[in-house]
Parts: sequence; C-alpha cells; structure tokens
Amino acid sequence: MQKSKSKLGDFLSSAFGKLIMFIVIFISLYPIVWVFLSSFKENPGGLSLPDKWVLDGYITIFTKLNILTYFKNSLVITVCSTVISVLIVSMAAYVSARMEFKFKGLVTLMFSTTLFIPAISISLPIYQLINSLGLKDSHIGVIFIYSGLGIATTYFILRSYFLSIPKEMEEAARIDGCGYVGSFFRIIVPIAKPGISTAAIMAFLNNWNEFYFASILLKSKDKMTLPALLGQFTTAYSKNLNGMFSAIIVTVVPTIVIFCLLSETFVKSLTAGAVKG
Amino acid sequence: MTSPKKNSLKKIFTRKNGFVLAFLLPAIILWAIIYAYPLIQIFFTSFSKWNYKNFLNPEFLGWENMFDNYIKLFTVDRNFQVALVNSLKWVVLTMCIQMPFTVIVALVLSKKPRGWKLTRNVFIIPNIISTAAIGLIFLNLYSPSRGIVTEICNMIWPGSDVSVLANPTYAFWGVTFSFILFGGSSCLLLLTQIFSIDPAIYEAARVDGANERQLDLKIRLPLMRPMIGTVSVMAANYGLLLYNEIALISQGGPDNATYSLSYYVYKTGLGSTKLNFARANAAGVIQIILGIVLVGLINKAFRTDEAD
Repeated sequence: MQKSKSKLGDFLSSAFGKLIMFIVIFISLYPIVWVFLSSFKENPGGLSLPDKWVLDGYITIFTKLNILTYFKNSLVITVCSTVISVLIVSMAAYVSARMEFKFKGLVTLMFSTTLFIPAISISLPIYQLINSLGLKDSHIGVIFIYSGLGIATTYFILRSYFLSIPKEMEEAARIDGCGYVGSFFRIIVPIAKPGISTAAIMAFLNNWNEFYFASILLKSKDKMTLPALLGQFTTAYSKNLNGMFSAIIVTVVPTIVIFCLLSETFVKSLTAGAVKG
Repeated sequence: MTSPKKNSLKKIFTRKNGFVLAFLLPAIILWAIIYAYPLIQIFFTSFSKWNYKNFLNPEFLGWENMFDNYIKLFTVDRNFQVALVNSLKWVVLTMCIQMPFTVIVALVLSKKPRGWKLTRNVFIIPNIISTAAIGLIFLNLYSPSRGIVTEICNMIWPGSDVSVLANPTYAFWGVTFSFILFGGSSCLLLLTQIFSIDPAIYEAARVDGANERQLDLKIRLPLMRPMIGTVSVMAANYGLLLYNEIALISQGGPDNATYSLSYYVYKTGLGSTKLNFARANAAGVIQIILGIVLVGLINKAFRTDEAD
C-alpha cells in the first residue's frame, strides 16, 4: 500500500518535471521558430507553415538593405568597446587586488556605486556630453559609452580572479627583474586568461545587444548597429515584412550559434556575472 | 624642520605609487565621465528650469521652489504617474510570476532528469539574444494582420478580433509577457547554488525518511535563499528599468498606457519637442532612489541570519 503510493508520487513528480521542461523549451523557442518559419513565407505571419518557401526577405536584406554594413558596425563597436573596457578595468582591478595603497576601499566603493545607477536615468547628461563633443552619430561616441557602462561587472569578475592567483608568481617575476607593468602584462594577464575571457564574454554580449544608446545616438543608416536597425523596423521599413523577419533572424542566429558552440564557457560567464546583485 | 615632510613626499612618489596611479587612472576617468558627472548633473538640474527655451543654461528654481519639478511629477504629470505605477507593477509581477516560475524550473532541473542541460541552455537563449529582436518579434506576434495571438483568440472565441496593442490593458500584458517568463540566467544561478549543497545533507535527510518533495521544501529552498535574493534583485531591477520592450512593442501606447519610468525619461528629455530635461532628470533621480530602496528591501527580506 505504502509502496504503491510512493510509486504514484514518483510518477506524478516525474510527469510534472517533464511538463515543466516542455513548457520552458516551448516558451523559449516558439518566438524564434515562428519568426524563422515566417521569414520564408510569401506573406509572413500567421500560424500555418509556409506553403511555398521563398528567400525574398534574405535576398532583400543582403542586397537592398546591406545588412552586412550593420553587422560590421556592430562588430567594430562591440569589439573595440569590449577590448577597451576589459583592458582598462583589468589594470584597475589588478592594482586593487594586489597593491596596498591609501583609499583602496574607496576605489571598490566607487565602482560598486555604478550597480545602483541605471544607464537610462543618467542618459540625458551622457547624450548631451557626447553631443557637445561632436561625437553624436559616430562610432567613437558609442564605443566610449559602452566602454564605461559595464565597469562594475568587469571589475568584480576580474578582481576576484586576480585575488585567486598566488602572489609568488609576481614575486618570482620581480626577482627576475620584471617591473610592475611588465609582470602584469607578461605574467598575470596570461595566467588570468580564463577570468579575462569570462569578463570579456559578458561585456561582449551586453555591448552587442545594447539598444538604447545606439538608437538615440546613431541616426544615419550607414552607422547603425543591428539592434538600432531593428528599432527602425517599427516605423521606417514596416512595409517590407520579409526583410524585417529575415533581419531578426540574421541578428539573433550568430548569438545562438556561438552560444551552442561555447555553451559551457557562456554558462561560466553568466554565473560569474552574478556579482551584480 | 621640513625634512620629515619632504621625506614623506618622497615616499608618496615612489615607483610603486606611480604604477598604482597610472593603472587606476584610466578606469577612474571613465567612471567619472560615464557615471559620476552625469549623476551629479541630473541631481542638480532636477532642481532647475531647463527645457527647449533655455537649452544651454539650466536655471536654478530658487530655494523656495526647488522641488517644483518633483511636485509637478506627482501632481500634474499624468504620464509620469502612469509610468511610476506601471514600473512598480512590473517589479511586483517579476517577483510574483518570474521568480516562482524560475525557482520551480531550477528545482525540477536540479534532479538532473534526462535533457536537463538542454532545457537549461534553451532557457538561457531569450536572455542572451538582443532584446530589440525579442521586442520586434512580439510586436509581430501581437499584430492583428500577421501575428498569431489574434488568430488563436479567434479560434477560441470566434469573431473576437483581439488587437493586443490597441487596448490599454491588453497592451500592458502584452509588454509583460514579452519578458516575464524569460528567467534563464536566473535559473542558471539558482542551479549553481543547488549543486553546491553538500550531498551529505540529502543522505542524512533520506535516512530520516524524507522524500524528494520534502527535500525540495525543507532543504533546497532554504539553502537557495541567498541566491533567490540575488536573482530577485536582478529581476526586480529589470522590471523597474524596462525600456527596450516598450520602445519596440508599444511605444508607450495606446494612450500612453504602457509608459515605464525609463520610457518616460527618454520621452520627456529627448522624444518630444519640449525637451524638458529638468523634469526627465527629476524622474531619473526618483528611479535611482527607487532602485536603491528596492535592493534594500529585497536584501532585507532574503537575509539569512539566525534572528529571523
């Protein structure tokens, strides 16, 4: 009696688990699958499968819309801002993890305050500053903003990684005549590669997907990033439905493919990013 | 007399300190320009008159009227009031819908049933692709002519012809469901926390006759509590700061019913002809304060000390 009851319980709980897993997969994928299927329809949308598969949308976005330009813009902006912020912040994080100096606590406090400052709340002064420097509608302005926005996350990921490296490493290097700067770039950076790549993936992802500043700063078509281009579809290109659906797919597929290939690395980065709380 | 002072000066300008300064300075400058200066600016200009008429010179409102912008926000600015209520609703909804759902998913996946890793990774996908893309996808899903929501509603109630984005209440829920179920990265963090629990605890509980459900309720949930607090802060912040989904799906409409605080800041400062910077910055200050209060409240609720 007791046994059959627990068997029923096991069955129910495993059925419940399967149901939950099915729901999770369904809600996560159906929007993308729907857009993917729709992008091949003559008249995109609706519930049915395409009765004739057409590639019009993809042809349009590669020829008329020059989606590769937007792709290149996104790539340039994201790579530059990620490299700049990881380089600059890793230097600061290293110093605060290793050196003894006055106001050390203040530095960490300064960077942690940024966790409480939402980018949009302070976006008007940033916008006006970029505007007065003449950097509106330029890649440099956006790169500059992106380099600064993720400071705190990068800082805490890297700092905790540097703290985990044994001090003897630099001491040995210093005995061999390496200066402070030399021992950082030649000894510490290579050892800290896993930590640096974790931080870089987080920064890359955020910068690649950033929409707000891109949409308010980049106004000319040849400068826009992919998210900014998608923002345009709500008004400007809304008649070209095939193009819109194809553009969505072209924007999200690279991220998904890279995630599938490097899922373990991504999972590690996303976990490390939790210092934000 | 001066020699000790000189000595200490010399000490300060050692090679090591020079190195510390040189390595810190770029990050500090970046922080000062991107965070410190804008923060100070929005704080001070929130007490000023500053719009398209005096574009270059914000004027202090004077000590007597210094809170005018704030008072107007709460008394006459209908859009701000809608935005504030919506943003708070979204905070509450993430806590009431996203968090419980994510915790249940994490508990299910923590038993490592077949396909748990796949499910976990698929759940992360909506969190790593561009929110602009997600917004645009949902805009299309809700469209009466090409979406599927109207079509499905017509199957259930023939002739209903629901147009999600034309009705204020439906539009609010339309925006809500474009993000509320996507808790993939939170789920990942919760799983990490569950996996770090010492297996000996489960063994001990099983010896005492506990079943899986009791393990969930009496062991996993309480031990997950600090991490639930952390992901709650992240989720609540997302709800409070919602912008991209609104900009792409509803553009604050219909009748400004889906404004959020972030959307209000953008619309008031840059998205209208009046360019009311001062009032937008006042709203920004309120948003920051709300965020801090929220973090404090959530941390207090999830603190795990013996006294509670």
